[in-house]
Amino acid sequence: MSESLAQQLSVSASKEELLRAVAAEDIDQIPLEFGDHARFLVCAVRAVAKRADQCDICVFVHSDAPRADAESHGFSRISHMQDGNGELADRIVLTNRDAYNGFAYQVANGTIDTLIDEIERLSFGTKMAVIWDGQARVATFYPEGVASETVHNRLSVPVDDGDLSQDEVCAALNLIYQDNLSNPSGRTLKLWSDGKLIRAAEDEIERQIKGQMYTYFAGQSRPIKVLSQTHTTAGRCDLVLAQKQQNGKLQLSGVIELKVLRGPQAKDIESTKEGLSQGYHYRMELGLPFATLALFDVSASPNNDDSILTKDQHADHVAEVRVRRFPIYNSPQAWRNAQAA
Amino acid sequence: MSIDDLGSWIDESGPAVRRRVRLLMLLDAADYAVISPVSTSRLHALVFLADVLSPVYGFSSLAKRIMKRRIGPYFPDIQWEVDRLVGQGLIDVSGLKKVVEGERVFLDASFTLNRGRAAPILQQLDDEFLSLKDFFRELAGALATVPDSDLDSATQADVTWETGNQGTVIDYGEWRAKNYSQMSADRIGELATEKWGLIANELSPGAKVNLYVQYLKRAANV
Repeated sequence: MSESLAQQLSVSASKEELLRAVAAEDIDQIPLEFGDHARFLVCAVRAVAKRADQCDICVFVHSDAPRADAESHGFSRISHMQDGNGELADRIVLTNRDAYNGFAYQVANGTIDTLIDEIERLSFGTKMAVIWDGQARVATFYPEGVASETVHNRLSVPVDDGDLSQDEVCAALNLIYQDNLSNPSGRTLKLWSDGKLIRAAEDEIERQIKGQMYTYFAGQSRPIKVLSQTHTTAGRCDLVLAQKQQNGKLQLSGVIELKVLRGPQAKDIESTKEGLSQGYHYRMELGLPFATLALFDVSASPNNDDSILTKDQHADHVAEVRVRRFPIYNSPQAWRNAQAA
Repeated sequence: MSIDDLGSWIDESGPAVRRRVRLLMLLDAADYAVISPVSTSRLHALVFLADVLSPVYGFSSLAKRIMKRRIGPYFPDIQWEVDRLVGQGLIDVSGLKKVVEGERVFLDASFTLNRGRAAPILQQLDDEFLSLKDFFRELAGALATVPDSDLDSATQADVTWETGNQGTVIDYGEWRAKNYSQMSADRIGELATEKWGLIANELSPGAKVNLYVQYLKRAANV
């Protein structure tokens, strides 16, 4: 905006001040930049997490026309779920990608099985759905509906409400990996096509990690924003985490750099060197409390040993950036062989 | 109305058709946001905000001007189209009641898309106006977070609306082309970029619309 336009808007100083406050404090209100699937998952989990009373079990079903779908099935309107309003326990909730308002239907003796049966009876089996199991604190996402029960991913969401820490980010990465990346038969991330690694593997992984991280923090009802592809004077960060403070201000907490290791080892060491350097400089540049380098090993013999990759690297970089290496297998058989070994 | 009739109806040109298309898509978005039935005042507020924020998504404003009335945005020509769509069975009416404004009495009502009858049209519209659909969904979704009791004051806190004097026409795209709402939404984007030191990370149109509605919520409560 040119200066003259900014000045025109500043006719009232309070107006400009309000615009500044929104830009500074409400950035966590921005919806996810990626598609409706991830947005629905995050918002559904966040709606459950917002409740003071812990909800044991409930299902969110995405609908393009919640009112019309709910008609004649005995659903009742539920509003402002993101503000913690409305009963969710033992309910099927028809809602949109923001899970803000919707229509809810209570199922007697709510268990995962009875809820799924009821969803299918109501002919919602092919609609995108999220099942929240409050006892296990696990969200299971069915992008093609519960009728395609093998196509799903899941995410564990442990309780935590403190300040964001390096340990916690690593724990979240571990959980995301265990739930959706470690066992190829259970994950929905498609990195190989006709036996070949896809070109956009980095983008796919970044998209997956960002969505899962968002869901993880949403499930804890914590005001943490995950920003991707953030440009700084030191370069472009993959993921930046920002946490809203009690005074309403957002504060940058940490950075996660993601690298894909394709082998051979010499090349992987170079990728690690670059990732460490990026993590170190972003941390210094942005004054962040921590930086994490997540290495996703998609080589022919993937493993989780990062020591070989870090031992001859710049000591300052290794000291300031925590490294995690995650083996990604290209087939269930490769995964089984690795487990046996 | 047959599918062929609907097709030719959509293909017709002229502002009346564009207004009807937008109305049906807005009501569809309101339905998706689970804020329907939409009262007359809420519908006109939605139409107004959709019009002033259209340029954020790269669309042209349709009405381009509005008479500033005490009770909030109201477009007579839009209401005329709403009444036609009701007559065509594409919009359902509920909650009829009278409203007194000064010495004049109006009929107020709430409106809902008749999904059964509108579905074939919407399907055709979805294919052709995907980003318009996304814009309307984003706007209706953002407005769904505004409590009903704050909606009037939030709409009247719109920067374009505020610039006008009561009883005069506010021109935000016809001759003056000074759309303060769009400028404010862009300004928030600029400020967010500055604030976070995120060089060249421009906010998406959807993000700007959401943040602008956050602004309206804050301004309504100042």
